[in-house]
Amino acid sequence: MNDLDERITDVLRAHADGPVDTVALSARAVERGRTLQRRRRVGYAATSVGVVALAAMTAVVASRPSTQDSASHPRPSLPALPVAVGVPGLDKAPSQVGADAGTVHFSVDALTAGARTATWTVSPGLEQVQLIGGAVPSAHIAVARKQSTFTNMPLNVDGPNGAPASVGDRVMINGQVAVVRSGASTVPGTRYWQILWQPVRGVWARVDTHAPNLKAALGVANALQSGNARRCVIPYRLTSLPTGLTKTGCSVTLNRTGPGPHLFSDLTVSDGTGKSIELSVQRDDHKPTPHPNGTVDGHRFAWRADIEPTLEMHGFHGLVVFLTEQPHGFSEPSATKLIRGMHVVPDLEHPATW
Amino acid sequence: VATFEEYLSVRGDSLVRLAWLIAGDRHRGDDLAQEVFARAYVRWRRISTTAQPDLYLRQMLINANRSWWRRRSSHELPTDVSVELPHPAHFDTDTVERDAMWRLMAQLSRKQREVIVLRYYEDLDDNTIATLLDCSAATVRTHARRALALLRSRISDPSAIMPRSQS
Repeated sequence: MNDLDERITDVLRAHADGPVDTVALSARAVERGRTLQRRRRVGYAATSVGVVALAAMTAVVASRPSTQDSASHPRPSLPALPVAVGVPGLDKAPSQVGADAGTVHFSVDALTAGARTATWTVSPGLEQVQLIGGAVPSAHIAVARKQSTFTNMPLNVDGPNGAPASVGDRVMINGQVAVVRSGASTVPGTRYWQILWQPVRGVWARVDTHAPNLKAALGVANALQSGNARRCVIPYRLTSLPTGLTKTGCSVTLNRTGPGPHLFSDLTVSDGTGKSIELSVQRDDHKPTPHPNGTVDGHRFAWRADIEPTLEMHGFHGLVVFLTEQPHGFSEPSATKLIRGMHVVPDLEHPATW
Repeated sequence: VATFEEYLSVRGDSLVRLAWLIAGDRHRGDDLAQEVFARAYVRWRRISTTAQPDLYLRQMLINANRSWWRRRSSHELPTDVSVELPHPAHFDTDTVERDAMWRLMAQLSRKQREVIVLRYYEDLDDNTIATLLDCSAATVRTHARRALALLRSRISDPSAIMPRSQS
């Protein structure tokens, strides 16, 4: 925890300090809650006729052709990551999982097409995708070379009143034994499921999902395809890395709604000794760079080196760029060198061309 | 299964403190908590059967805070931060620094403040925050990054932490 983190925690604790009268609180909540209940009962009786009429009207309106601008509609499916031609999937190359920041060695096409958002991430020894919407409200699928990699991913499953959830139910996923745990979920109509198995020897897979039942949760796990690889694409290329730096991590978030498919992407470059630079971009917010103090290739940026060196630049070929260096060690020149070598793709709309 | 009153006697305290922080001031935080607890009372039979009523109540608090912001015609910053200032006789360096930081945090956007509070006060991981805020973990990271960048950039700018004039 750095100095800024400590100051934030400190000030939040200080402002959350002080007495709370829970007895009075409870009494007022019950009183107001009973008032709400009474209003609701009266309201149900009064609106029941109106609901029937509204349902009929909705059916009629829905049958008419839409006159809205098609650009405001979601794309029919979420763009998939492009196929990495000639690169084997994790079934043929288990040792390559998380070895190349530019490659994801699995796919989940059956799930991604209908999802609202997909975030693909590659980091050393670990590849994962987080999906929101689609067949289930949310699903996280991760593959790693070592089971111990998952120990840094918290197990969020709790049973009623914080007791351990059901553990150890065994099922089969594509012919492999898997262990399933489940617990209650905060998402209405679902339970929280975790499934752990080895899709191929030398690779572990874990699914975390909010799903209505075991069948739906297993549907997420069964969607994992290990026979092909995809490119973890970002909408720019780096043509000049500072000496000694290599790409070690990639993350891209694609979105089915909104003006374009690209929401965020992060690229991490490291020197192998613990120093790294994270280059994050997101869709342009059409705001000027706040408090600019430098320029690179005609674009104004703000460089701050007080606690965590950060470069922020808005309006960069349709993107907002954040460059963060961890820990101290790199410098403004290395940051601007990286930006100079950053070539944004001409077509932000089609990940297949990135 | 705990009754609503039993639950509030144990957990109400921490939920009210969370409401204070995401609302930005205690008076509005109290109102927020009161409204959410009343609605939770109505739905308690269903909420109590979930394993994590705490998470459910937190989500209700966040949604209620959002609704309050939406109802506002403009996104004014909380103007009654000053009511929480300690008496001048109790000023010391730590208090002054905390007050300055609190004023900076009052200038964060609603989403940035929510992420910072959930991450630093509630100590939640990004995935859980993402679930609570109904967004992706990447969005959580972006809000956190931007909030931290804003705080960092203004720590050394005294004009940024002066109280806003109340017009």
